[in-house]
Amino acid sequence: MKEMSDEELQYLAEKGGLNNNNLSLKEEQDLLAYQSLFKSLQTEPAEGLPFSFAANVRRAVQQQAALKGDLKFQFILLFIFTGILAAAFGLLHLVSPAAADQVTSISPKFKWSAGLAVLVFWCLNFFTTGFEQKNTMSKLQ
Amino acid sequence: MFDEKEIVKRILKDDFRAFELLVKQYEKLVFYVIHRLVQGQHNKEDICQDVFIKVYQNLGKFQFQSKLSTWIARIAYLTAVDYTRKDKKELFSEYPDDIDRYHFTDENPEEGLIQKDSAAYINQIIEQMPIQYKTVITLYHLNEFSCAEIQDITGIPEGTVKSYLFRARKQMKEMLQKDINKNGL
Repeated sequence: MKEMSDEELQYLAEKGGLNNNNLSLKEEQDLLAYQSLFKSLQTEPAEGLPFSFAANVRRAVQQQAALKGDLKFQFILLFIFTGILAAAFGLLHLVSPAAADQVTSISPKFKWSAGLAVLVFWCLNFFTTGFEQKNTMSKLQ
Repeated sequence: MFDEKEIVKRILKDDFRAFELLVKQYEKLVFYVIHRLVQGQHNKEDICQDVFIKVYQNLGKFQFQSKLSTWIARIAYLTAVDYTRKDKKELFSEYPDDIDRYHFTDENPEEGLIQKDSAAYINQIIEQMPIQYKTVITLYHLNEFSCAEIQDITGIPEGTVKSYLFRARKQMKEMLQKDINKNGL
């Protein structure tokens, strides 16, 4: 009788069939070896992730999302502030063009201090919210 | 019961508890892939976290064209490959295509066979295998994916997956038999 190939033996082992009386001793040994191998391959690793893994990942993702949202908020704030300044200047130009011209001529002198003030305000706001967020997160943990 | 669509919908609405549920559901799947494929000094917990952060960031792009588990396994697989490449220890091209020509080390993992159980011994053999073989063996036997799903995850054609599986299992069976005979077990 033709001996079974390894392919057929693997198929048989996978299907869990050992009650085949027509097998030779060698085929039976091979089949048993395959079955033992498959059982070992399905054994879960001894190590694993800590029990708190899912909660840790959730916290990390939450922190990232909050930071992203915060950055978005800061940029919106900066945009609104610039918009208000531009609108105020436009209004001044409508009401009193002379005063608007005066502002235009004076403003270059204060460009650095005005810029610095905006930057300080923006940084303060950014770090304060960041700090508050960190506190909230540590309370959540 | 775990409803994939419902969970994804909730996560996309910034429900972080739903995300935690998703992580709990798939953490084993991701760990098995990372544990088997990434060797060396990497912190496997950090890599698994990295995988789930990628899952969160890309969840909006998931169109339910495959099972969520297949999609997550693909992210885990690609992340593991990235880490392996960074290590430059296990570049794909370093391995022969034919496992029959691949030489397992003579460091004798079989010495530990008497003390250790066969599952640990098999893991030692798998560690020495080329990454393609490790991948198909892990995804098929440990994660219980079908050959078609393994194709979706790894991009390896289904026929090649079957061939890798067959050759890896044959080689392992022969090593196992040889060691059993050698140790008189």
